Amino acid sequence: VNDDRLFQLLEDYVEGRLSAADQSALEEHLSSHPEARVRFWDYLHQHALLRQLALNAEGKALAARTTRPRRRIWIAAAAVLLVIGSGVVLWSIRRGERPAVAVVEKVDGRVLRENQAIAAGDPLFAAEGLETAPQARAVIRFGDGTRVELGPGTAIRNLQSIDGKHVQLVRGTLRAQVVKQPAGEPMRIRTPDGEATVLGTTLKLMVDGDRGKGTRLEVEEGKVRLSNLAGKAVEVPSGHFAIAALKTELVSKPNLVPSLATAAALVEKMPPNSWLSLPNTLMWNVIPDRAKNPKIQGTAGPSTIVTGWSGGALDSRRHQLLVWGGGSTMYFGNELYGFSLETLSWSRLTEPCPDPTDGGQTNPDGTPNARATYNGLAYIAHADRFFALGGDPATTRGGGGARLDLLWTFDLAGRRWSARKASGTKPPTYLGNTCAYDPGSRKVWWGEANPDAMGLYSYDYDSDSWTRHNSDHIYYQTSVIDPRRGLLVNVGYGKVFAYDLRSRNVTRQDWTTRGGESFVAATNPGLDYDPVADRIVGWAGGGVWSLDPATRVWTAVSAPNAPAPTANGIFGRWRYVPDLGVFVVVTSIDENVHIFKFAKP
Amino acid sequence: VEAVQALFLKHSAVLQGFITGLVPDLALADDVYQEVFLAVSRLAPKFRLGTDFLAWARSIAVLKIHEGYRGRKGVRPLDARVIELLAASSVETPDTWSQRRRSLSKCLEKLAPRAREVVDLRYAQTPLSTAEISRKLSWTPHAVDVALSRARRWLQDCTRRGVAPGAV
Repeated sequence: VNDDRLFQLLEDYVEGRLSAADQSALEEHLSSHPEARVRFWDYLHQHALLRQLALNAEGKALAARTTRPRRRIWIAAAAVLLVIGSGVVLWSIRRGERPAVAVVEKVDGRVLRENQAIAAGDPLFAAEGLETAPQARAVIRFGDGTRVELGPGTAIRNLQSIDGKHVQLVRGTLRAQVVKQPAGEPMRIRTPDGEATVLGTTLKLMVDGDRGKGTRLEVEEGKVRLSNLAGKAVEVPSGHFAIAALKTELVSKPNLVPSLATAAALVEKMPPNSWLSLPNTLMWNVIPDRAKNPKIQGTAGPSTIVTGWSGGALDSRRHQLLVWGGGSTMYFGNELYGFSLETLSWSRLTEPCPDPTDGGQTNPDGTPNARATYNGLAYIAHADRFFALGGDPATTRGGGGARLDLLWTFDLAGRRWSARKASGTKPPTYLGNTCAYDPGSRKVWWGEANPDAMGLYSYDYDSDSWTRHNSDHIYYQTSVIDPRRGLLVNVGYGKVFAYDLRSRNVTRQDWTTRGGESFVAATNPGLDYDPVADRIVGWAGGGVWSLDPATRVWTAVSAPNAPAPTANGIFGRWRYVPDLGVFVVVTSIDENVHIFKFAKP
Repeated sequence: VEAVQALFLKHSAVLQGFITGLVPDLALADDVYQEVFLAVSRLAPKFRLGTDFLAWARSIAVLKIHEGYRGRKGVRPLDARVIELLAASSVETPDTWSQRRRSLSKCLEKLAPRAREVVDLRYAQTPLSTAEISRKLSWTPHAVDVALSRARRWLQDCTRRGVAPGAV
């Protein structure tokens, strides 16, 4: 069998016209000649690719045909829908003839694909779409981790994943967390009014039922290019929005959250790299009455909620900085506090347990014991839960270091604590632990300092499970997520190191950074990521330091009117507020809350 | 399960190519592909992350290919031993698949319009048979077969050489 004969046999094999004799000849040749098997795959891979390319081209053509809204087309479409509704299938496309491009991750309510209900775990195939009922929601996930959330009453069409991801938003609201896309293959989201081109970011797109209002794009992180039907385009950065609509100028504007109007007005007046003390924002104003709570005062009282090695986290949904602490022999009140950037005021989100346990993990009322929280706090954004683990429990015996390995979460909507019965290899906990929530992996990444089982762990809220990744020594540092690069970066105690959370093996990368020695030497510094500036920005008193993750160079900004730092560390009480574009910090219950407006050097 | 499904999606084009190679009938190949996805999802807890996903998925695919053929009367699959040999010699990865795709896309652009038309009809969403293409284009069935064969051969040469040897 020479090459021409083999080619002809393969042609007949593909077209299903091999005679029995020819099939035997082909099988014999393939069995005895390895090079024939290479030739076989060359030819058959082409066969498969021709199919994939044809389907992709058809999908694109379909998207192009259905993107431009014309009255006549819409009337025709309405007529078609009526016919389909009456049970007549005009166009039946066999799903199996297209490659799977994504998986349905979550379904809440009635969600349809080609008029058939779908369920979590179902694959979605090329050129397919979904529709959510008025009260329903759905989440789909592509192979690279890109997530697309569909709001109520939303319709998408024509999913594709060849030559970049494509999806067509017909109506409703779509929120996408797009991981970094390959060069030259951005994700494209088409709407009746234009197209958003995304390389890797978090965005929200809304197509209003009133066609005159067009498509609104809001960018939470990164940068998105939005074009309209007139062919004009605009780059929309983080914290901005733009509208593509007929007779509307396509411009990018700051996306001001109405509830943050008061704070936004203050921020707007601040010069770059400046501090602002927010007036009348002493946490002291909401501390429980001491006379009514004699059993919780400890040896040092409520000031140690902040000063006693304790931290906080930002509830980005309600724009409030959550502060929780005390513990050890210092303070036994376990009440949780929130500073609202919307009202610029403090709230006590829970009342203290009046008769708390002495050194245990759980109070008689089923709430967690007070503790010096260190950096063991986080906000699990996708679940809207406050995460708390480890620290130094409230006890009259002192000594520190008793285990607090029971994981607690706080339901911010229901204002209720829950102890989780997590599975997997749990961190034993100790003093000086640190953690950060990563929206990409949807996990809390935990640096364990306990010598018995130190290392990097991750906690998955959805499956309520822990995973231990290594046995690295992580102690008295603060963790931050760089979502653009998918990095967990730990800073403090004289070290800077990172983990690539997108890699299969999460191994420590020791970073040699330039400048910032005094900041790196600090213990438990304040640290968070600014997505607009693409900098890790920290504060531990004095100047504000920023680290460029690309060059690994620290730069300091000195600004007057900084508050006095907390002696034992800033921990998680320094947080970036995306919708305001500023950092907020709490340093004492007797000091106003401060905000810092950072500008990239 | 989610992590394994994500791996499946990442390797979906390669797996589909693998299945289509051993099941050249496009409709049957698509059925098998869906069965493989369901089986991979069901068996996900048994897969050890960090090991060779493609090798594992290919082994499942081979089982599903045999099952798929058993359900189709009148279709004679390749001998099981040959399928095993071919499966063992499949070394495609997502990267090499992307390279193939880019190369083939460029060559397709250089294909003569009439040949391209036949290829498009043969591999369309609803693929047409030789008889259907011949009716649509008013060609003889033989002319369609020859045009398809010549187009595929030319594309093979084009992608091998990386340049177009001349229009067909």
